[in-house]
Amino acid sequence: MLRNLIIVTTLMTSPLLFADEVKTIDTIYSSRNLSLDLASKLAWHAILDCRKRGYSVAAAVVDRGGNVQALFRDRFAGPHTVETAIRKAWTSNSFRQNTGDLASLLATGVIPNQVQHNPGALLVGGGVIIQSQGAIIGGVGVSGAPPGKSEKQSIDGACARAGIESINENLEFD
Amino acid sequence: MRNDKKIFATISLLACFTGQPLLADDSMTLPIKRLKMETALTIAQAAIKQCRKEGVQIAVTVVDRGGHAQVVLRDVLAMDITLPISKQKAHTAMAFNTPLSQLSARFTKPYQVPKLDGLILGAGGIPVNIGGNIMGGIGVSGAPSGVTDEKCAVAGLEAVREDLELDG
Repeated sequence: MLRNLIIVTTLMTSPLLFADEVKTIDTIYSSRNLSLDLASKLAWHAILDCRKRGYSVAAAVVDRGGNVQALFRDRFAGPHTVETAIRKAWTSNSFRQNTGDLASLLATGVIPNQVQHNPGALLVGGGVIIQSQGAIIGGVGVSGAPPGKSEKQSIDGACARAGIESINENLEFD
Repeated sequence: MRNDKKIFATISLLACFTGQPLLADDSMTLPIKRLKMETALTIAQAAIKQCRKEGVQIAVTVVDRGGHAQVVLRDVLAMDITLPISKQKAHTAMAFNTPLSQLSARFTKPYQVPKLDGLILGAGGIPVNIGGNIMGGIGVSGAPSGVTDEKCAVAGLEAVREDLELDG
């Protein structure tokens, strides 16, 4: 009985699903993207959060294409922090996971060692994906704070998450 | 006679080294003014705003005296290539302490200085120079013409110029 019901339901809904699929495959599609204002706000609040903790850092926001939308380097953040922040943001966006988690997976051997040598990839904590209504729309990377307890609990990552927190409402409801 | 000449030369040389210091100042260090990140952000936002008024989406980079980016903003539709170009414009304008529109005709032969990697002479970059203090550079890229790029960079600087001048 239950099986029949499932089959019937599947049959009823599948044409709809199929129609949707055809539509998305055959035509141009749109995606959600951060506005410059929101990207700036995110990076700015990541900087502020790290300032509160007493650290001068750089924060970068990249879009889906991995290109920088907003980048701030605070007063005493070292010259390497710019590139590092961008690469962390780039990596989280492209690998679709926070770099802190990627670092753990790398350390435990789940991710092959080779991956860390991918051009542009930086599997070090501090890069966090930006999600909006279930979709990954970019990444934010922070560099300049000292290491935390672990890659997963890096201070850079905490500042990055604070940045995302500041625009959470927009991400979910706009 | 010959010896006299030698002695005279030695004395002159010594005078060169032991004479007046370049800066008649007892201090061993030199304070250098730098833009705050907030100031750099104000500049970048004003540049973006001006270019939106012109109907173009651009990227703007503000670099410090070290040539390192302090703030980068790229409008949503500005292409990826605007990122390195705006950076290089800012860097070049800062290093040469000249708006790039005035530099483009200066080095025309091959292998001259600006053929170095990472320097760009196309208009769109201006130095942040307040009363002789070079504090950095502003680079804009993305408009169809360098003239517009430069206009936006200037608008960025104008947004903070008075405050910077008051700061001395």
